[in-house]
Amino acid sequence: MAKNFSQQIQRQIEGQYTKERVYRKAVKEKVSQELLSLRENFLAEFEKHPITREIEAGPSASNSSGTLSGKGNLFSFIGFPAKAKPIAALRKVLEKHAIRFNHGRGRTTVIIDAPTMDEIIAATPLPWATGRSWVRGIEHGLSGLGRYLNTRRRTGSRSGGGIQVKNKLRGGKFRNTSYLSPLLNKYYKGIEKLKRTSLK
Amino acid sequence: MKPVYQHELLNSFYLWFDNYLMKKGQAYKTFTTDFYYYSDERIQDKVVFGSPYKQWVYDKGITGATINPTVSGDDGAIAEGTSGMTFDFDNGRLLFDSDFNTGTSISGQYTVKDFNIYVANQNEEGLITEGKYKTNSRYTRSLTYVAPYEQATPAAFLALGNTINNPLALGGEDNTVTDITAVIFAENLYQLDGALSVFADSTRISFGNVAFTGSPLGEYGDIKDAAYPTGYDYNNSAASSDSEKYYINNVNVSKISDSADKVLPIDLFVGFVDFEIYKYRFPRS
Repeated sequence: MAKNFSQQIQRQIEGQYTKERVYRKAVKEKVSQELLSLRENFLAEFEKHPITREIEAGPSASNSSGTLSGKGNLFSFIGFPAKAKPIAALRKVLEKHAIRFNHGRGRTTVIIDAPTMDEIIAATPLPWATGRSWVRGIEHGLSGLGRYLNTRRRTGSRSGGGIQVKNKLRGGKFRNTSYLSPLLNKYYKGIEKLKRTSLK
Repeated sequence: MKPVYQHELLNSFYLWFDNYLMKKGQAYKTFTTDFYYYSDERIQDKVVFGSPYKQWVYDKGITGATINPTVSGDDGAIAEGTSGMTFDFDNGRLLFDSDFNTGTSISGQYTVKDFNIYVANQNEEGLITEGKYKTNSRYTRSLTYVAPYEQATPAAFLALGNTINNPLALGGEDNTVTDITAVIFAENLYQLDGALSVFADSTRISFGNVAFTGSPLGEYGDIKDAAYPTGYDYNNSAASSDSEKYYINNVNVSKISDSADKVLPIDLFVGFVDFEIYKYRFPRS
């Protein structure tokens, strides 16, 4: 009888604390702070990644990422028009961030909205084949068609052959490299870890 | 070198791709045409009569297709085997014994794929920019034979891309993830949209393994009688290896943009189908 009574009390107490303003404030502060720190790290790693830096530097950059054996640069290789800002569009997706708190009886659910690979792929179309993503291409392989098209547009040539040969000499073969997948995985793991964080 | 995983995958994928496009998109057409004699220096001991179209359909699983071409000569119907007649499905032609009269008027009925299917022998950039393919139009009537061996459009070129083994289970089982790209060259937008739509719907389906030696055509382009005594049916071949399935985890289709199309040296409509294939296997055993 005594045992049942104490369990009842315990359940009532547990059911109450999620209604307390102090508790809610503490949860919100703790989770927001931790998530902000994770997000800042994620964005910082994105910003300092050699692929990001090279593409952001535009058509006159050098191949600092080494993905083209040091020849040409990724911006031109992918085939972006000279004034395109592909990193800005990608950054917008990566900066996406929202937290919602649902406080139930003795339980708080935190819903975190973080960018997904599918959203990234949708936001990063190749300029010459909009159904394909250049971010996926960096990780899985890219053809040199973008570079070819860029050269053709610049010269206005329709003959092709000679320009193509020159181009092949100037540009390197593309080497796949990991880019956003490991950064996203690390970000997601950090968010998972938040589940086990205490309020202390 | 013995056939290894990637050889079997590409072979199986090629046969699945061919069957799936024809079956789901009814991407084939039956023609009745004349055949034209020509000499082929690669085949010295045969008399060759070519049709105007290449890559005839030979898969029994394609309902409505003329799998056994009907051929007529000066004296009426010619059955397969008469005067040594065999079909070269790949090059769209008939091969006869060397003593066959080259002046014979030959005509016949056969079914042609809407898209020739090839395994790419160069990268995507090279395929598109070199503009070296001749068009074997399925919409115009030609009064001569189509040149053998050369790759012709409309066509789909299949190429293996990245492969990675991701750990899956204890005991050394991995998920082998392979990217395969099909570059599609079509004669018109209707044809291209059709092919892209068919393959966009192929996501999350599986296809069977066909052994590397199970390729249906022999040296002269006819069905291998020993391997397929009752004819080749993709569904039977692929189903015979029920435990050996490949899974298409993801498919992404796209067309080359209008602005890019304007500067390409080819008068064709180009699209891409990017497949992500999963296979659970023990790569280290």
